[in-house]
Amino acid sequence: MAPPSDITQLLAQWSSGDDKAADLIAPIVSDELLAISRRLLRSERASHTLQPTALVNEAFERLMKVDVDWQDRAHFFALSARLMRRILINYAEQRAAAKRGGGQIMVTLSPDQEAGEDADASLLDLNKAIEELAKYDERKAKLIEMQYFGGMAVAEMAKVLETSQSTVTRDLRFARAWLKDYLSPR
Amino acid sequence: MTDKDQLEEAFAQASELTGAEQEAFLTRFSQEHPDLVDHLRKLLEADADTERTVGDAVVSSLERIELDELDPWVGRTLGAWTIIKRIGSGGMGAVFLAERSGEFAQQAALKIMSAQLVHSDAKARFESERQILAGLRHPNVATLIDGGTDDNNLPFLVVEYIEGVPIDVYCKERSLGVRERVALMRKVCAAVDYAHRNLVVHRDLKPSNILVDEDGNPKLLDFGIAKLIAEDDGAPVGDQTAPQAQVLTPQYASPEQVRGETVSVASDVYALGVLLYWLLTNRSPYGDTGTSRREIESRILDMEPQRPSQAVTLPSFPNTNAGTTPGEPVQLSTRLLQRTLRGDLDNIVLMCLIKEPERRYASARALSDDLERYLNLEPVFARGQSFTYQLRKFAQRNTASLVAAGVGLFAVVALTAIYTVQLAQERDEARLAAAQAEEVSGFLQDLFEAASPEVAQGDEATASDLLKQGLERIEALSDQPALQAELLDVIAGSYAALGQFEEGQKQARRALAIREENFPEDKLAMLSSIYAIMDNQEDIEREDMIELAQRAVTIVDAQPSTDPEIAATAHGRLGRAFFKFKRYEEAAVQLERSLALKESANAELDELSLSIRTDLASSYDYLERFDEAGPMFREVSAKSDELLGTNHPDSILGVAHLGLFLARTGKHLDAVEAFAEAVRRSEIVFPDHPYLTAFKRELGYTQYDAGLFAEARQTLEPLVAQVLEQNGEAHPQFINLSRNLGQVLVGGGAFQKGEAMLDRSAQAAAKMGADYAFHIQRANMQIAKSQNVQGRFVDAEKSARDAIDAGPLGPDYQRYAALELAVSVSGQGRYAEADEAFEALIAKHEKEVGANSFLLTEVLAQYAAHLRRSGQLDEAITAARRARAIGNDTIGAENWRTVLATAQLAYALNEKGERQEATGLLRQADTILAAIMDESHPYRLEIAAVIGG
Repeated sequence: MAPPSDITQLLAQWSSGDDKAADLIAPIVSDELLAISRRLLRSERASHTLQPTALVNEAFERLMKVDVDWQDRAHFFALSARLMRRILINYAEQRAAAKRGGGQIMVTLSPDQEAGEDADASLLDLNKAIEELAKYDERKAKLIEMQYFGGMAVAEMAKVLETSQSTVTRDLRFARAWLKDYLSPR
Repeated sequence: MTDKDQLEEAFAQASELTGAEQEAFLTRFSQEHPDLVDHLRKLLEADADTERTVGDAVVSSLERIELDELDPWVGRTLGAWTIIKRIGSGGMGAVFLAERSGEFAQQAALKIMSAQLVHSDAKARFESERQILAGLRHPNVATLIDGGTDDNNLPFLVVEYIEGVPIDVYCKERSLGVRERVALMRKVCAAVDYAHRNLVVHRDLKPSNILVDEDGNPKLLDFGIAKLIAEDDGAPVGDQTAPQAQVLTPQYASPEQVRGETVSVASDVYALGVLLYWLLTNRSPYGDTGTSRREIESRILDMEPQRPSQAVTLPSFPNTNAGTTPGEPVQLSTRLLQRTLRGDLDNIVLMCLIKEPERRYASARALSDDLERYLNLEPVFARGQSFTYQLRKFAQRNTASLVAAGVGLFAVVALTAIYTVQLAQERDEARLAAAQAEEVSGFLQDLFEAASPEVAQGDEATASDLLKQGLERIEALSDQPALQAELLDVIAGSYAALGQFEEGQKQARRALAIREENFPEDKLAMLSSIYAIMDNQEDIEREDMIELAQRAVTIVDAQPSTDPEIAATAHGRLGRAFFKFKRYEEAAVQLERSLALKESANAELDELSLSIRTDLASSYDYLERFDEAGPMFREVSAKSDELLGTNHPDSILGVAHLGLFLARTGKHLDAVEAFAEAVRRSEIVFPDHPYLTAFKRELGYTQYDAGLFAEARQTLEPLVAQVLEQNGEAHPQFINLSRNLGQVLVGGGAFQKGEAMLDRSAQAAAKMGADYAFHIQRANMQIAKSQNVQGRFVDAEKSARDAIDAGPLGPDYQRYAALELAVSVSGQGRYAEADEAFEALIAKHEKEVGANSFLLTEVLAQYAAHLRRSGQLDEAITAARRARAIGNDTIGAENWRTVLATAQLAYALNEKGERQEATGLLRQADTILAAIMDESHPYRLEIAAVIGG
């Protein structure tokens, strides 16, 4: 794994517009997110609901220097949100594909499998809705991603999008209504 | 403002309002923007809906991520395999879906051992699973495809990926009835019996280890705790600390497993009984399986299970451990189901579940036979065979005809006397057959027991030890010659599979002698012994092979009513025998006849058809009917992988045959790939078999032809060391392989080492007497080549003459030696003599291997070199161009033989003053040669001199 200073460096490059830098940190951050969620799920599953905020915060602490600037911190969260979304969607899609393919193998099926399938379906629906929202207004889609997949605070989102906190609040409310409307049965 | 901005602005305002105020706002808005108001209204509704929140889906999907799925294994590469996803985890490790790309692309289940277990004895278990699976090839057993260790030295296995569902789920999904369930169980029994015959006890049979595919074929998997019976350590299963205790499923454990006693064939029979109980009644034999492990174990030891027919009348207990149930067999009613199970099926199931192992069915086969008898409405073995029972069966079987004849029950009873005789006869036959089957299974069972620790005193018995013990038992059967001969054939087959041909042949010949002496009229039965002998004539004592095969053909041809597939087999065997003796024309005739017979019975491309086609394609190959051979080889290899699995010996041979064909037609790189694949597969399936040596030798040889000298050396060096250790120098294997290695060394420019190795080969041959003298000649031929390349033409001429003059060499080597002789003569300036030699040699090639054979590339290149040396530049250019054209068409432009032709063309052009073209060609040539030869190689020095000069 790259030492924290490198990641901070890469992140700085990315926030100043170098997209290649994001490609370089993405795998490191993804791995970390996976490792943390695995650990959190194992230890805290019984008592807590796992929240994206907890995940991303911990990943941040592990990967970044403590004295990293506020701007970089916000960007790290934005990147993590994007990766988290990708990870969750991948898993949901894989499970859905395995289901379609009938490839039921030597697994003893878990009793709550059906509930899980619903969760997959609603996540995939949500993802589709966010994609639609992005066509309508990319910034709003980005906000939704940061809030729900990255657990980011309004102040941090405002930093990343270089706008005011009140605009973020207003846009988020609209975006949520838009998504709920899109997802409601017609 | 755009519509979008209008909408957002309105939303921001309206969402702050409630009730009448919001309504008023909407009314105003609808007048200004009638086209936007509907959307706004919906957005506000959504905004007000606090029941649903967007983030829920994210959080619950986060929760959904199973620990397993979020693991770093996905995407990793192990050997040739890339992990796609996790499909399960167990006590020993995890199972993934993995994928191999490239020519042999396929998906498979990859099983890797968990890291925590590496230092425990689990590693040995894992290895033993690999070993066990490698020895099992059956359509109803998931086959082993690959194995190895990852970067951290964790062992992994790759097993056939089964797209299927557990057998109980399958029964439920398809709503199978009793008879269909019984029929399905028979297939499971066949697979279990096969494992038993290979001295493997599964020990963990349960629905999740038996998947049924779309076509209704069950596949046995997870031999994770299976054992070669020889290694059974008898560790107490009840002991919670033993790793075995955690992996064993208590519901399917037999009393002896619970008690930690020796596990045998009977333990699997017991588990099959539990499975049958479960499939027939939708209930476990010991009631609610949700109770504690201790409680289940105590019931297994002490409680007599209820008869299945009674169990179905009780309320069914939900099985709290398994998520699925087989459902009850589809019947009209519980009463009908009860009636169906009552009697035979009750008896069969309970016979499996008897607490004392020795009183259960002696084998899975015996269980299967009884199930078959049930299906055929014949008397089952699991029941005291009282006369009334026999009579009832008889009446049942014949109900239709009796009823049709208007005969009532009274009449049936009255007829009893008349049928008694027939009945007794029938019964005796059934008993005899049953007795014989019992003997065979009893024999196998004895073998298992003999190998268990108590009897073998802790020594680890090997397969050949077991076979030896088997032979001793067979001696005791001299009063039952038919059985004795049959068992000897079985044993001979096992020896052939182990590659111990000498012992196998001996036993098969004994079997034949027994049959000839005791049953001289039962010719068909002799076929089995005849084939068992032939199967053991792989390398040794094959003088009478053709004679034996002809005898088989005579037997089948004498009986025109013979099953065409049996006749096809006999003709196929004869064809193969002719082939082995290089009588290819006769081989092709027999094999064509065999294929026609086979297809007259059944045109399907099955195992028999594949084997005939393989031999036929090989015959065509040697008869140089390449257009017929090529497609046939490819068809066989692809179909065999599909039908028999990639690791079936026939599939491996299919790949190897394809490799031989590719090599003979100059497709060296493709051939290398095929042989590498054959080697890879064989290392898994038969690591100690002579085939593996043969495939490696061919791999090394094709690598040489492809110009991969370093790789060829890597292949052959360890092989030479290995055969040296096994058989010493005075053995044909060493002589052949050391010569091949010498040739490879010379090819790569290691002339001194190469010649030393060739000398060693020749000396080894010299020790073996006149029969092996031709090996000395062959070594000399290669030495001549080395000397020619180095420009030592006088020595080369002597070596070449030694090779040619000492006796017949075989057509291939004859041509090779003649080429070296011609080169050496030209090198010494005897141009007229060389002219003549080359012209004769080229004519000889055109006649013997065809005018377009890749073999001509090298000959023509050397001819061009000679012509140039003797000043015939235009002729040299013509010859070099022809050499290049043939090379390009056959072995490809980048093969070293083609490159030699290119170099010769360039030299001749250079001497004609076409310096620019020559230099260009030489640079190309040198780039290719640089990959396979040092700068100090004479070929490269010559090129450098011309480019530089």
